[in-house]
This record gives sequence, C-alpha cells and structure tokens, in this order.
Amino acid sequence: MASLGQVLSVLTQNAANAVYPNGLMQPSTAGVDTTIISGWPIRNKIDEVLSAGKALISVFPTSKVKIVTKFERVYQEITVNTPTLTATVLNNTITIGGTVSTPLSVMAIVNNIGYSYQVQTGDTLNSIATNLALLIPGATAVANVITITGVYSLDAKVITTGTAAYELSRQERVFLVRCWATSPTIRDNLMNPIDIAFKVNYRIVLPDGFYGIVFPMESPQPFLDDWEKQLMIIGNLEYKVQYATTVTEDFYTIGDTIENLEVVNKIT
Amino acid sequence: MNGYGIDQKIRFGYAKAAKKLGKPFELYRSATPFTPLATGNLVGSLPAVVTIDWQWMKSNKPGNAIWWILIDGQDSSAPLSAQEGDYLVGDQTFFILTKEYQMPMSAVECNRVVDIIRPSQSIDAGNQGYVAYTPPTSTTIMEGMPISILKDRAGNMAESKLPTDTDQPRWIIQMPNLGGVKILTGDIMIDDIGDNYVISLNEESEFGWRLTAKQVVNNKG
Repeated sequence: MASLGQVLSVLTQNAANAVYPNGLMQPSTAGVDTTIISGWPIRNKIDEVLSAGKALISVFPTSKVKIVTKFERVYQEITVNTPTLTATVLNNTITIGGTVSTPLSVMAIVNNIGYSYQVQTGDTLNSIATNLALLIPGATAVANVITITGVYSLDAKVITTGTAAYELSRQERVFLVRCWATSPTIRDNLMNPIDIAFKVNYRIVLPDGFYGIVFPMESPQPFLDDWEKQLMIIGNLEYKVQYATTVTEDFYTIGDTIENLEVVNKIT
Repeated sequence: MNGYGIDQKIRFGYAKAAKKLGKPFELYRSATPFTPLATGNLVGSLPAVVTIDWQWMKSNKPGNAIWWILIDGQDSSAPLSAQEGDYLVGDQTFFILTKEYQMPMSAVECNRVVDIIRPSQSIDAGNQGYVAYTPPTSTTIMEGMPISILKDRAGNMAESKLPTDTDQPRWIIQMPNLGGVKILTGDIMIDDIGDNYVISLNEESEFGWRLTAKQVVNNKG
C-alpha cells in the first residue's frame, strides 16, 4: 500500500534530485551543501547547518487534507512472475523444460479436463513429468516427456504467482516543502528548481505501483523573513498530492477457465 | 602571614572540625561528566559534616539542597582535599559547590542520577530520510551524573492530552561542570527512575550548571 510515509519519502527524494540534478558529487543548485529531510530538523542541528552557511530542505505533511475516495474496488494487476518452467505440447506429448523453482504448478488440459501438479522443492523435470503423468488417465512419462493415449484435445500451462492491488481510499494532502537558508539568493536557488521539478514530474510512482498526482499549490506564506534575526531565511512551497491507499494480495495465474465436474448418471 | 596563609589556616580549622564532628565520605574526582562515581575516580575517604547553620540548631527543609560543609580543603592535604566539582558519597551524596577564597565551602545534596543526551540527525548533503528525535539517534553528552533536582512549578498540560495526563512539571537542577562539556537547551535528561526532561534554561557559572527543565510526562524511558 502507499502510505503517507511513502509519499513523503518520494517527495523528499524528488526534492533532493531537484537541488542535486547532477548527483551529490556536484554542487547543489544553491552552490552550498544542502541537507534534504522528511520531517522537521533537530533544532541544534539546524543551527549548525545555518551557522556554517549551508542549507536544509524539510518536507512535511500538513494538516490540510481531503478524502476523495470514489472508486470501485477493482483489482489492478501489479506483477506476474515469469515462470521458469515450460510445458510444450507436440502431438500427443507434453515436454517439461526450463528450470525447476517454486511456487509453480504445471497443468495439462487433456480432452478439456485439467490435471495440475504443484511443483515441490527437490523436484526435477523428470519427476514433474512422472508426477503429472500419474494424474492423467492413460499417460506415461519417459524422462521429461509425457505421452498421452486416446487424446483429441491437449494443452499445457505453467501456473505462476503474481500480485494485484485495489484501492481502499484516495486522499489529497498538502505537503510543505520548506527551504532553510541564510540568504535570499540561496533560498531562491533552492525553491525554484524544486518548484519546476515538482510541476514537471507531477505523476509520482509510489511503492505499490500506483501513481500519485502532485497538484501545484501556492503557499500563503512563501517567504518567512521575520526569522532573519535567527539567521533563518525561510521559503515555503506547498503541493497537494492525491494518492491511493491500496491493499496488495498474492495470486496464482489462471491455468484453465473450466472447472472439472464429476458427472454421475443416476437413473432411478 | 599573608592572605593565602590565612586561607589555609581557615581550611585547617574546618578540617579539624570535620575530624571531630564528621562522618566518613568517599571522595570522587572526575575529569569528565561520564560516570564520575566510577571506582577509578575514587581519591580516598575523609570525614565531613554538613549543616545549614553554624549554630547547629537548624535542620534542613524540603526544597533546599545547598549545605555548608566542614571538610578538609587544605592544599597540603592534596589530593585528598575537597575541590569544587568533587563528589562525596556517604549516607548521602554531595558535590562541592563552592570553595571560594577564605570562605566556608558549600555542597549540594544529590537526589537523582542522570544521563543527558542531545537529539541529533545527519546533516550531510543529500537526502537523509526522516528526521525525528529518538534516544538511539541521540548523542550522549553526560552519563551517570548525580544531581540535585528540586521542584519548580506545576507547568502546563502535557501535549499528549490523554485523559489521565497531568501537568508537565518544571524542575530546577544543579550539577557540577565537569570537563567543560556544554549543556544546551533542548538536551534531554533521563534520570535513574526513567523520567525524561527537556532542558529549557542552561546557566553556566562558577557554581557549575544551574538548569531548568520540563518533565515530559509521557516519555517514561
């Protein structure tokens, strides 16, 4: 799920990328060492930063929030793991190939009836073929090849795992990006690149694979010069981020869409 | 006899009185504010007695930790000669508050043992992640220091505003200045029963440190 803390982390990293566009080995856009943090600075440490003529950027979620949940709970596919096994059909044979790993299942669909074998730790290609053949009437396995007799329809699938997620809620919260500097020039040279970067990259990818949308806002107090006596020249930027709280679950891929039925003809 | 000689004569008198009237105390002298009562800092044992009145007719009252002390402070007795900042451990624990020229010496009675830590964060360039005060990310600046901590006033309601919360009391603290280590406002003091305090005022003078601190009522370490 995308949590508030994760949104905060992504914004903080984006701010860091904006003021260090060429990496930490090159100077920041303000020309002074700049610390970028989530949360608020420790007071003795901000003194240390500013008295050294350096700068600090802090990113913090404000209390301005609105719930904008209005979506159906529809699963969105996040990842499907690539199966390492293969099951290849040729005439009336299935050949098991690839590399053995778990969790995987191999399914043979013989005359429209599915037979599935879940790969166990320690299995080999040959043992998978043997175990699957044991499930299928009239099938024999030699090495990694299964031969089936009396077959008019044959298919084989490898079933793998994946994740999918759906939204539980969606919210918009205003985040405050505060630039702590010792001169208006440093402040400007930090605020402007961040503002441009946040407006260019307004779709942010969150750890759950969902996007957050960054809306530009205007801070009611962009400059705080009344703290100059503390040698603090402060600049505030505000952005509203819409993001979803999601739940991610593990799934198996579908091997066959037809359920096996045991048909019993009972004439009474 | 010059002034210094008279000073030493006065000290001799106090030492003689301490020998007659005193109880044994162990004297510890530490160059740093880190566990000053460690065995390695023990100088020796000597008699001492404290009083708040030279007439021997007044006992102490709650709210006062400062006593006159009769103890050997002669230069000729060094190193077993009480100096400012020395700790005395007997029935009670004291530290020597003053040893002023020709004046009687005074001592402060200690009632808690504390550590002082300073909230910290990385201020390196680049993204440093989430910053918040936690004890493990703080720097220890003093450890195992016996201090005097006495009540000041009730203070304001705790920020946490729990139904069972109470006011956050303010306290007055006295401790010796060992090794020149500075205490800053915003430092956190944690005492031997786990109470936490934030230093709100830091007075450094010839009397060592006089601090006021706000107790953080929900931060029982």
